[in-house]
Amino acid sequence: MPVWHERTKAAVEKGDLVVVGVIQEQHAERCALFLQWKGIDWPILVDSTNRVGIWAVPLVWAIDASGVLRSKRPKPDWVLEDFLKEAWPEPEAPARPVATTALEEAYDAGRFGDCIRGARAQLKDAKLETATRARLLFLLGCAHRARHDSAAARSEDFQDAIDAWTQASRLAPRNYIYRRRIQQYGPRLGKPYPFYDWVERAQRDLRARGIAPHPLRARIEGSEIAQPLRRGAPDSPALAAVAAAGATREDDASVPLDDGDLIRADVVCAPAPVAAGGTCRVYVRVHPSDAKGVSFDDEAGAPRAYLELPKGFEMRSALLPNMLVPKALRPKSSAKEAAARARMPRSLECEVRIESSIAPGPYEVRGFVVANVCEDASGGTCRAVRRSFRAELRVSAAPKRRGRRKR
Amino acid sequence: MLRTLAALTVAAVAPQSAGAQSSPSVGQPFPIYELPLLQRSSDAKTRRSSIAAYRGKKLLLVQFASW
Repeated sequence: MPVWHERTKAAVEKGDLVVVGVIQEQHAERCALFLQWKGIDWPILVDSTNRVGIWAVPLVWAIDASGVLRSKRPKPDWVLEDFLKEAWPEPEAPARPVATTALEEAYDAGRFGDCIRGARAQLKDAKLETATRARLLFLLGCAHRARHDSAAARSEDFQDAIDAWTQASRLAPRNYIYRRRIQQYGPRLGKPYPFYDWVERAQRDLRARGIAPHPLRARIEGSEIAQPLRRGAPDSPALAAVAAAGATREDDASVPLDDGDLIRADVVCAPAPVAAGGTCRVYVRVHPSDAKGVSFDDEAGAPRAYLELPKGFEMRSALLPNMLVPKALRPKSSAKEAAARARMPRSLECEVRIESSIAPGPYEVRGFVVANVCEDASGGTCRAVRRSFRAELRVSAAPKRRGRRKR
Repeated sequence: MLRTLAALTVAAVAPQSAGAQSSPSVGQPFPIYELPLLQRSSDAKTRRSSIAAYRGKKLLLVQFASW
């Protein structure tokens, strides 16, 4: 995109050409940061739910002054030399507006619960065409994830988003917009590239220029910045958990149970289900209780988690804490900002490989988290608590390998 | 400059079988979608727009992701 920006800048400034961007990202504010970093000033329209129905990005379309498409995927030279000089006749029939659906309106307005309920209701129609079902599932996944990132988050939203996107991608396997949305949160082996590893660099560069980076509302998961892992590449040995200095699993297993419901722990697996022989990204999320004004005692150490995996499931990377914290909540922030950070959920991520011999079906992942918490922000009792969790990890059959063609 | 209520003309995707991808045809008008405008500052109000407001200008529509 920076190439298009550079090549068309003069024509845009002269008024000969207009460039409008359309983004298909779940978190539009990250694109705002990207554009700020790169100095791109195009007007941008946000299509996080891919209602325009494209199958991959980037795509460039050249549209004449009457609204008629004149080229798909044009080259910059053609745009600047031929497109700008050509005069085309008016079309016989003008372009028609496409109505925004009620579900799309609800999504755009932030009424994610309405969008979710409406999409689920429509998906019950057994006569839906496959492509329509895929689009509804994708929208459903986007709504769940958007609610997960909001104050109205429910504990099942992230997993529900992964589930819906997975189903959409299976119905439309050639749609890379659907596929990338899952890969964003999935294991390193399935990643085409690290999606948002540029964010910290962008924030640093902007601050160095004296510019306040565009704020990011949704935290970036570790998977969204993880480097891809290629098949056959050396892998790190399995580790049970990230242990703080001096902490061992045995010590943590003897921490008193959280009998006051001060924290909640839930587990999300992406993708879901995961194929036998494949790898999934496992998120263990720890939430402090809102009702009891609980906050994490960061000075005493970050939360730790331990997983007990079924036979044939192997942890292939350490459970790593999500280190990316929004700029507004950096350690050197004000007391108010630090208090807000202390109430933010924490996420630990790892990757789990499933042996190809594992039979399809549901399996149980057990574990526990240990967290240092304080019972209220004004210095109530601070202590370590332990909470167990169980989660279902569904395994599907290993994909069939295509045989070699005989020559 | 962006005008409010500009119409984004994008191909409508008609329901069809899985795997088939629809695409606007060269020589045909782009259908028009109205979408939210990206907010460039945290205190900006949400506005909707589409590229029909650029009627009369030659337009490059660039669909991309920051990744």
